[in-house]
Amino acid sequence: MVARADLTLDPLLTVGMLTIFLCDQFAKKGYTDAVLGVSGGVDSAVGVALLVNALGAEHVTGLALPAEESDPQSLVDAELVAKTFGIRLIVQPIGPVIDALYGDEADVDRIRLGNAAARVRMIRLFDYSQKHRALVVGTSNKTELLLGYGTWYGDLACSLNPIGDLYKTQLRQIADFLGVPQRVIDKPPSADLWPGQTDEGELGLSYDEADQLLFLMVDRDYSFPALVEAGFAPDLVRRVFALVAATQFKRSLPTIAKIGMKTVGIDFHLARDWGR
Amino acid sequence: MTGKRLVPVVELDPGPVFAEIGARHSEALSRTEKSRCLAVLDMTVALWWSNMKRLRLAIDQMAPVLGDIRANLAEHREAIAWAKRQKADLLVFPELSLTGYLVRGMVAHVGMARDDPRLIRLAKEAGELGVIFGFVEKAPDGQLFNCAGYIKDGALRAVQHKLFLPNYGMFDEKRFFASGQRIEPFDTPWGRMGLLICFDMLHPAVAYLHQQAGVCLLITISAAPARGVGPDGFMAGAEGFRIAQRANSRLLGLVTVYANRVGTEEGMIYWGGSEVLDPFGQPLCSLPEYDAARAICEIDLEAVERARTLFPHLKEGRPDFVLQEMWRLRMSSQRDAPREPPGEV
Repeated sequence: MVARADLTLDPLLTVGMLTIFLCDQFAKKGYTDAVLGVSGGVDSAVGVALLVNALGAEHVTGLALPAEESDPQSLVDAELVAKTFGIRLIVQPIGPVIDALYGDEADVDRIRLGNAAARVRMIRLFDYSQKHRALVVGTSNKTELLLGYGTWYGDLACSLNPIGDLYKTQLRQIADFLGVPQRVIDKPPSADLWPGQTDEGELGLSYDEADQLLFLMVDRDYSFPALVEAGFAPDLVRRVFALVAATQFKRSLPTIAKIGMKTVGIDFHLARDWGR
Repeated sequence: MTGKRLVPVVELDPGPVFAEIGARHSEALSRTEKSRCLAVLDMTVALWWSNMKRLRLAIDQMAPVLGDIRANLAEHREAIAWAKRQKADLLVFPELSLTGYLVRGMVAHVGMARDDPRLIRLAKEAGELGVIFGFVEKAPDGQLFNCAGYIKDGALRAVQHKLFLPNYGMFDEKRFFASGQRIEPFDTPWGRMGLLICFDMLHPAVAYLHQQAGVCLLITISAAPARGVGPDGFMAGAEGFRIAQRANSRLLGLVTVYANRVGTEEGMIYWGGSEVLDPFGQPLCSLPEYDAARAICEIDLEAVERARTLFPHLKEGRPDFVLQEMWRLRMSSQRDAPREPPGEV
C-alpha cells in the first residue's frame, strides 16, 4: 500500500462526545436504562463501557444469547466484560428457539441459521426492552455497517448506536482507552455463527485493509483511479464498492412507492427528536 | 472621582446636574449629604462614560428543545433574568435558539412574523438588556428565513437573514429556508453591530462587507455540529470557525463573538466552544466545549480604534477596487478561457 490514511482518534474527546450523545439521547427519549447483546467481542464490550460511563452500571443490562454453534469461550468473555464493568448479565441460550423454528427441516444452510439466530436475539432484546423499559443499544461498527456485514432486522436493529461511526480499527483505540480486557481486544473478530468463523475470513480482507479503503472511499471521497493510485488492487476496490452498494438497503427504510405529496422515506422530513 | 478615570467620549460637567438636583431639594443639604450626593453622581457619570466604550456581554451556550418554542422561550426568559442580575448590557443566544436546528419539514410550523406576540413579550421582558437570538421568520410573502433577531428597549430592532445556507454533507438548509439577500448592520448604544449566522462566518466576504459598512462588533450565532474527530483533540468541524473568527478579528479589526449551541439532535453533537475575541484576535472569553454554560465578558470597545490604528486594514480596504475587480471578474467569467501561465505557452 502506497499511502496510509491516519485513522487515529483522540480517545478522550471521542469518549466524551459519545458519553454526551448517550446521556442526551436517553434523556430525550425518556429512558434511564439500556439493554444490549453482549457477545464477548470488542464491539459490545465498548458499548457496555460507554453505557456504564453515561448511565451507571446499575442502569445497564447485558444479554448473552449463545446459539448451539457458538464458541463456549464467547460466553466466558461476555462474563469477563460484564464483571469488568460491573453490569448485570443475563444468559439465555437461543438453541431451543432455533430448534422450534426449523423443527425437522434438514437442509438449513449457515446463512439462514445465522440470520435466524440474529433475529431471535433481536426479539429477546426488544422483549426485554418492553418488559423493563430499557432502550436497545446497537453495537455494529462503521466497517460492518458499510460492508453490510450484519442481519437486517437482526443485529442491525436498535434504538441508537453509539459506535456506528467508528471503524473497527478506531474502535480498538477506544476499547483500549476504556479498559476493555486485552483478551477481548486481541481475539479475532467473529460473528460466532459457526465454529471457526472469523469476520476477516468471511470478508476475504483484513479489517485494517477494509478500514483504509473505506475511509478513503467514503470519508475522503476518493475516485476509483485515486484508490488504485493509493495502492489498492483494482479488483478489491470494485468488490468492496459493489458490497457497499448492494447492501445500501440494510442502511435504509424499505423502498416506498410515491403516490402522495409527502412520502415516508422520500420527502416526509421530520426529525426523530422533534419536541425533545 | 477616585481610581482609574476613563476617557470620556463627551465631556460632561457634573456641576450643573448637581445644581439641578439641589434646586429640586429646596431643603439645605448637609455637607455630608452633599458629598455623598456628589459621589453618587460622580459614579453615575463614570459609569455613563465607561458604558460608552465598554460592553458587558453575556453568552448563553444552551441546547434548545427541538420544535418546542414554549420551552425555549422559558429558557430565554430565565437567561434574561440571569443576565440582568449580572448587570450585562447584551445577551447572545445561539442559532435558532427559539426552535432548535433540525426543524426540517416542520419549519413553517415554527415560523414567526416580526410582530409575533411572543417576540414582543420577550422584548418587553428584556427591557434595557439587548438580546440577540435565533428564530425562524415567516415573512409576509410566506418565505421562511433562518434569522438572528436583536431586541432592545421593548421592541424587535433588527433582523438579519442567514445569507449562506449550507447544503452539503449533513446540511439541507436550502430545502427549507430562503436565502438572505443583504447584510443589515444596525446601530446600538455600543456601536454599529453586524449579525452573522453560522455558515455566513465561513464566507470571508460577509465579514469584510460588515467592516466596510462601519461595523465594530460582529456577532455570529451558530448551531455547528462536531465532525471529523482526529488525533490530539483535533475536530475538523471546529477548525474552520476558529480560523475564520481569528482572521475576522485580526484582519478586519473587529470585536467578534461566536455563540455556538450544545446538546444533540439525532446523531449530531453540537460542540459549543463559544468565544469572544478582541480586535487583535486574542480571546477575551472562551466557553467550554460540549457543555451548556453561561459567561460574562467585559469588552473594551476602544480597542477597535487602537487595532485600526496599529493595523490599518480598514483604511486599505479599497472597496472601489474590490467592486471594480468583482465586476470585471463577473463580466469576464463567461468569456475568458483560463490564461496560460507566462512563459509556458
